[in-house]
Amino acid sequence: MREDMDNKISAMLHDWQPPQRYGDAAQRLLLAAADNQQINVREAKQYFSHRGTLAPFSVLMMIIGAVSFSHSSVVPFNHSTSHIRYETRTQTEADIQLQQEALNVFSINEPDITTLDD
Amino acid sequence: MTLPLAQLGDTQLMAAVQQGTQAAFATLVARHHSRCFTLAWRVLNDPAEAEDAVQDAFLKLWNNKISYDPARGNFSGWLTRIVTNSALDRRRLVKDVSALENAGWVADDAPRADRLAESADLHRTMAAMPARQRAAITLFYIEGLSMAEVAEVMGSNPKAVESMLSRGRTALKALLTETEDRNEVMR
Repeated sequence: MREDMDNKISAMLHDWQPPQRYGDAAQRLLLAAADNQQINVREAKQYFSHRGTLAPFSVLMMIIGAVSFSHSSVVPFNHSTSHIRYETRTQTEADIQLQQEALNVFSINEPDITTLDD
Repeated sequence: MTLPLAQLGDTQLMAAVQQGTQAAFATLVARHHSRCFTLAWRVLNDPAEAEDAVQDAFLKLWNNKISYDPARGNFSGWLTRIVTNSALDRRRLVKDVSALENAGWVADDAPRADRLAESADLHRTMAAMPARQRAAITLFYIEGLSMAEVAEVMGSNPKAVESMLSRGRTALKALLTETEDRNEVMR
């Protein structure tokens, strides 16, 4: 009886799903960083904002966090379009400038991002 | 002959990750990200926070890659433990979002009115539970872990897990009965 109820509950819980589009889009952004591809900060913001799937702050944290796991740093590529690319090296003044640029694009007051590399 | 990374098993990929191969890590992320996101979302009841928890989890995985030992368990179980704990850690920092907000997420994808109502009720029921209880239910009912394994992953004891599951079972049983009754009336 108890096992029967547990099976019914298990079956019901499989309907308890997040929207797939959210995870897929975030995964693409994460993998782009892992593969050292360029990420356009403005496009990333627009992509998520238009779908209402991700808070701008989360996109920003995801970009900066993705850099952390690859032990790389963000390097400005084209300031006019906010393209960025990744190189494996220690953080420099340029990294800090780009982080500031990303913060400006996202119109967010600067959080304590220095702890992300810890 | 070297196999493409996508054809390697998790254990082989982790061996490559332990040697610092980022492409192997990216393959693991691609393979497990969706499942990890769903798991974190179920614990946190918030998509943005779930993304951050998964991000934290993969960061931890990379930073602690040396500590993975296949002799002590499979990769999937190890990752489940990291994601669950990352989600529970984040949960301590954030507030729960409302159940109605999450019901809206379902509405986008549910094609029929009765399915929509059922999904919304399920989300509402789960959202009303504490995060640790949602974690226990997810690990037990969906991930298929035993009560002892759930306790181990959550750093709890089987008795406490049993208590959480019991309370969750009561709420879900009531929902199940309500749904079955409603479907009976509609027939």
